[in-house]
Amino acid sequence: MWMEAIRVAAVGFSVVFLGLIMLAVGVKIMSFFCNLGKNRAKKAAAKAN
Amino acid sequence: MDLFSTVIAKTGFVSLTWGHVVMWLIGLFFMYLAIKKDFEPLLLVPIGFSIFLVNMPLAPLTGKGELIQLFYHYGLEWEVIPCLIFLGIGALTDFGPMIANPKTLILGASAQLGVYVAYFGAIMLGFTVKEAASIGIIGGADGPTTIYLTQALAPQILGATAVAAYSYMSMVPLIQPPIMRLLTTDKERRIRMKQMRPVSKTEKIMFPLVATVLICLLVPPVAPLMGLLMLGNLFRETRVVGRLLDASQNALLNIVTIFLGLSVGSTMQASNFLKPAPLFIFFLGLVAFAFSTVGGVVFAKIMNLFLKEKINPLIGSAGVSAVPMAARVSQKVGQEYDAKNHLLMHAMGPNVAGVIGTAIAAGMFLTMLR
Repeated sequence: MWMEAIRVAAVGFSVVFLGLIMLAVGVKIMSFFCNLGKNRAKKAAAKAN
Repeated sequence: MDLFSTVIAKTGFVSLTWGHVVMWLIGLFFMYLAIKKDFEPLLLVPIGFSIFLVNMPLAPLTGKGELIQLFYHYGLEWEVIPCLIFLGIGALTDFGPMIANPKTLILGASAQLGVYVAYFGAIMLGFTVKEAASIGIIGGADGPTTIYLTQALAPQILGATAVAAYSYMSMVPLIQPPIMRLLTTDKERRIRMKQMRPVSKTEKIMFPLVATVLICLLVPPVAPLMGLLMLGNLFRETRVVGRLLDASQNALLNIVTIFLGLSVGSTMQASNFLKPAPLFIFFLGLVAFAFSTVGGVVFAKIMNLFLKEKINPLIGSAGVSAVPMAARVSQKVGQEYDAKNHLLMHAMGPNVAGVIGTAIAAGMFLTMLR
């Protein structure tokens, strides 16, 4: 039982960290593209003016 | 005379035991905490009253097909209530601070330490692995996730875990500050953090979609919880579904909270509650909360060893879910040492990350143990 318990905890805690690191990276990438789009739209608007 | 004795026999007085009276006192204690001390009154009033009510002998409330049993069956056993609560939480939560500073997501992970400490503690005390997982998740300070996991893995201890989770959530302002002070220096408590960048509307709308994809692919068993959390947040951020947002934040959340309180309280009947196991669960819940706080604060200190712009370790404690109370505690403790230090928005990052972290921890337990 202890072996199973340790395995569950080790894998579980690692995946919690991995999942939130993945989410942090995902958020960074998302923000990058959102800001890229925003800047392009700003530039296009400036050109049009 | 016969009729008289029959009537007497059918009253609750004859069937009343000391166990019922003890449970009444416990119910009254919960109501006292809510009414007098203002600890999570929205939950502790219905939970406390439900404990009181279901311990009325012979009352037709919790038998098959009876009123509170129906709430319990369709709400908790079918796992509808925790998911609807998450819809409301999503509709109330601003993920902006976390999007502005994604590093804080890591604090939400480290604050799950208590989940695993209590998990091992429970196994040492003789609980099965499935029960231990359900007890450990109390350390995530997330009531709906605790109910969701316990119902799936160890429904026999649902009452104790749910009540422990909600009780300790309401006691965050009492449990966390001493630990935060113990683990930080005066200088660390005074660290001021840079103002966060503004987060665009597009980022806020995209976040629930990105988070749903990543989390549901990584841990599919928590898709119902995470899906509704993110749907609620999408309602909030799109600003085109005002009526749905209003319903999720207010009417629906309030109705579901009543059913939740009654259902959780109904599991605390004298016959199954006055045993050593629930006392151990309450003790382990406290251990879980304490170690989750330790995990968040210590990891924030470790992060400071590598970061150019230091973070105030007090925000680490907000990595336990308990939104937004844990973030408010970080702010309050920080302001005791520097009245002009505003940590609330910085602490909201790890706070909402903690909700996601606890859901992932629960998802992993479900993946490996169900």
